[in-house]
Amino acid sequence: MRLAIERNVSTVTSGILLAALASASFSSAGFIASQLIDETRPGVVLAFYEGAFGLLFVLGVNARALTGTKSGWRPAMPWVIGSGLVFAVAIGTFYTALERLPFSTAAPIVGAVPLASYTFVLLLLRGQERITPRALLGAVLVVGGVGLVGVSA
Amino acid sequence: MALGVALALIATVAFGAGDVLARKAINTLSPGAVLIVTVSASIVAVGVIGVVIVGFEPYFNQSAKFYGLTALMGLLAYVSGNLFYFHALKRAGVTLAAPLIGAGPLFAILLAVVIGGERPNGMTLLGAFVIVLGVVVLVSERRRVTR
Repeated sequence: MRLAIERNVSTVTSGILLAALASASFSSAGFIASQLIDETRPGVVLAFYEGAFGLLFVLGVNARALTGTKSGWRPAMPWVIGSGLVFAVAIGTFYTALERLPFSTAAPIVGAVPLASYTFVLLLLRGQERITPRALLGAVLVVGGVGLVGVSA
Repeated sequence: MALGVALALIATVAFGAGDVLARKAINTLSPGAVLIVTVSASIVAVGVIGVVIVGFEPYFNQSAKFYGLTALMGLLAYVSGNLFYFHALKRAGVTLAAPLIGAGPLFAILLAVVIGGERPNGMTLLGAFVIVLGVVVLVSERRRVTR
């Protein structure tokens, strides 16, 4: 029992570290995008090439992931296709927003993603994930801090 | 300006929905498999929408620097970004992982100070402190329901 709890804490900690690394990567990609976007290089074009190169890299390091989980494909397909389409809207609109806003203004707005995520967690992950008061406080502090950075920018 | 803010808000809601849809898919598929299908669907959708909005011309005749930098963006956004993030969703859940992604501007401040030599003002430092506080609160939260 104790071992199971420790493993769970360790798994969650590694997830937190991975999320922090991902956050730094997303910020860097967004910053580069803000430098590239102009009238001859619209945001949707940038999003397309970023995705195309990204897919090549992901296939390069992770193509094996497509095999070995045959039974899981059918129940996951609606969610995974939906996720792809929604992310297309997200990336396309964010990079198009960067045509009209500086990165220092757009990034803090997108910093409110946790609150949007929590809304969808309540709708779609009820019973699977729990939004504890401490998690909600942490998310509100992060969004508030990002808002302060945005105001100062 | 107003259109830009509206687009950024739409992106915010869409990113939030995408996180949760991806998390649902990760219940039965590996994060890597979910990412590959998600990115494929995303490229098709962005490509079609882009051609409708801006036509074919901007997709061609770009400089080598453009392709190099978009390749770097692809590496950052999809390998060390989304691949890590989808593994984080599986391990820590949306509840903990999503706010950490939202803390990205903290990293931007660090870059601006360390690489750009900028001196942040008091409001920026206060914002950074509040973000760090939020991250500390989140990291100290280890309870979550898993299935």
